[in-house]
Amino acid sequence: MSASLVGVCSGRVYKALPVGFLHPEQEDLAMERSNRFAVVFFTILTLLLLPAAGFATESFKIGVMYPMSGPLAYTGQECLRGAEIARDMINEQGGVQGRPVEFKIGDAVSPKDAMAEAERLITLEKVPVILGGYSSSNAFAASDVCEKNKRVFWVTTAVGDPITSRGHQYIFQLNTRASQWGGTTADFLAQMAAPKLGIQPSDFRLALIHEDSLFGTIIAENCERRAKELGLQVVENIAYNHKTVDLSSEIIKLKAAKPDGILSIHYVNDGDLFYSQLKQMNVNTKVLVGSVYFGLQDFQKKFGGLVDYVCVVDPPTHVAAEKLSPEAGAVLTEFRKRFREKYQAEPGDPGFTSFGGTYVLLKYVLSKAAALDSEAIRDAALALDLPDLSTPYVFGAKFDKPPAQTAGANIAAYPVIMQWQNQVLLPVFPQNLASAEVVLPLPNWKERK
Amino acid sequence: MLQTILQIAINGLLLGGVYALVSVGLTLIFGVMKIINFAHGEFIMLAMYSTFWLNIWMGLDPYLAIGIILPLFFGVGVCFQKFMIEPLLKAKEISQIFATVGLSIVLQNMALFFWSADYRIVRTVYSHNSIEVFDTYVGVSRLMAFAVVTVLAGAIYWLMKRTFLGKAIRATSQDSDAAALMGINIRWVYLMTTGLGLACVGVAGAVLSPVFSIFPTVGVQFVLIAFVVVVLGGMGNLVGAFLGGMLIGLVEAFSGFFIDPALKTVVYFVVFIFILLVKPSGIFGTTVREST
Repeated sequence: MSASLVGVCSGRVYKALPVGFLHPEQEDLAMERSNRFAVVFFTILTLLLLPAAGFATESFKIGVMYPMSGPLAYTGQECLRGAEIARDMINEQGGVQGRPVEFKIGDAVSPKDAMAEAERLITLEKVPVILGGYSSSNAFAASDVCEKNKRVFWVTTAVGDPITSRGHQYIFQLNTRASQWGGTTADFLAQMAAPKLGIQPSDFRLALIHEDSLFGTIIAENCERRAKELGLQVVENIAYNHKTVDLSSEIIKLKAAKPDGILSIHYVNDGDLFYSQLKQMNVNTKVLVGSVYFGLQDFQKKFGGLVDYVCVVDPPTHVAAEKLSPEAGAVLTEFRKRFREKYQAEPGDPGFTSFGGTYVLLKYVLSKAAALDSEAIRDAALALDLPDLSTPYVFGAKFDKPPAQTAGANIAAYPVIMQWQNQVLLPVFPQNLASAEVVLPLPNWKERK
Repeated sequence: MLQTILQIAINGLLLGGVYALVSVGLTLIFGVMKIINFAHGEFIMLAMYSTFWLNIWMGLDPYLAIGIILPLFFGVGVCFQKFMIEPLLKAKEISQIFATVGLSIVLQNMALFFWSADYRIVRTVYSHNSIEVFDTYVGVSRLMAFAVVTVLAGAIYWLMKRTFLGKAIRATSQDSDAAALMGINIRWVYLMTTGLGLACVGVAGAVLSPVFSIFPTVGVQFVLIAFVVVVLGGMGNLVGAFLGGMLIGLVEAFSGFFIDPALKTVVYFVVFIFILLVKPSGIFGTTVREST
């Protein structure tokens, strides 16, 4: 730093003499002022340049809402794992419009918490879009907050029909809806299971047992309606709270109804309890279809060979990657590989749907939106038209448009029926996605090991 | 139909055994110190996790693990009494409630942080098995729970009736001031009571670990029913907790079948309210005059 600059900054006009020509005391003073000036100058320069440097790599924050604590924490945790793998894959490709994606997590334990967390993510974290929604009751509650604040709520996993049955403008539901789960199960029982068992649909006795929140109730109602349309006999429809510690009364009622088939709509711990008590009370049936827990690796780890020939209605979690387009198949294979390596388990419905939903949002909506604000994201979502088998979610993505009451529902989505065979879960219905033929009847408990 | 009724009765008794098991420890603490321990369910959760880790690390069967869990949780109870309850004994009830509610939240979230939300399973060869008796089925793990609670309740009953500690605990629960005047070290009684109470909780957790999956909020399922059973049976009354559990289990099982499974909880709460209206101190509770 030359003495002339020192002079200017000190406020006095020194004669332009280089350092070395001043008195030693003046020289020390000049050097001290010089050092101070240098520090101040470079600090200001750095502060001016820093935002410019950071601006190019500023992350894009989106809200992510799943139950991270409470009774649904297990499935919420798996949902987050799926979403994180999708985020990482997209960030490795350069992120969204050149910006790495960053998650701001909301813990939606209950409907009340879901609303509070949605409010916090929107008002404090200022995210333009929230993805997530496990447990239809929680997602339903949060959707009102998002709609009120005109923020896109991208529901990856929850299946309750009411989420997209109110003509909302900002709510998008990727997954197949609960009414379809019920309808597909009835179709499977009437068109595949009953003929396989040699029973006429009109003689087929179907019993329903379900947890009593939005999820279980809607699936059971729609299964009952569709089953009756197809001529099946619905002999029982039993509701219970998913936090119960005992299902023996319910299971005795099932046994007394002597069903040919049972559809059980449960989450995880109630699914575990149901299957354990079904065995303990020696309740046999010819075909058993479950949900959620019956599609998880933990079901197979706990019950081993006893899972064989049990069916599950689920999103198409285990459809073979070869059935999809090459690009989608590669993405799905990569997701399964990463999940397996990181968590030593196969992804179930929560991980799969969360991954698929997040990937579609990041790759096909946010990357294509005219801007990264809620209105532009919404427009990009409404314009989406991804054909069947072209996404890692297996089914395509095309949303019903306003002013339809079901605006935001994915009309391209559908569930599948899968069956455990040799402790591996294989799609069996619909036939175009089947990897194996269904094996029925379900053996009696005494014949199974 | 007779066979169905028999099955329902067996299920009700076995369920009652589970309820009694989770209530025995609570009735001791609640009955003697009148402290509402809202973290009761979380101690059950910790006991289940302890049993799980002993099963993984040492291959210990849950019933053998009781030999370690019982003294361990006795120690936990003594520490809980000394460091948490003792400072609050003279505090307002609201402070006591908030302290145990806070502890409950801390324990749940610490379990979530350290062990994640993954479901843990204690696998035994008998977990899903049942014994067939005249075409009715008795789940082995629940039968074991019933047997253990019977032995446990019997042991605690013997302790209460036949030992000095038991007499001291009973005296303190009736009137702590009078007991102190009689030379009983109240502080020591409280330490022993909480230790015993949490030892019972430890046994409950160990015995229930083959029955239920283990996760951080598993205790929440038990705490409300435990309070109902304790109040119904009479606070501090072991026999009351045992029989109260059986009553609730049977009411739940029968109402679930003959009325509606969705209403079974409603029915036993109606029974609970009715009994309290007739006898506010509980079925086996005694009315104690307030000391002036």
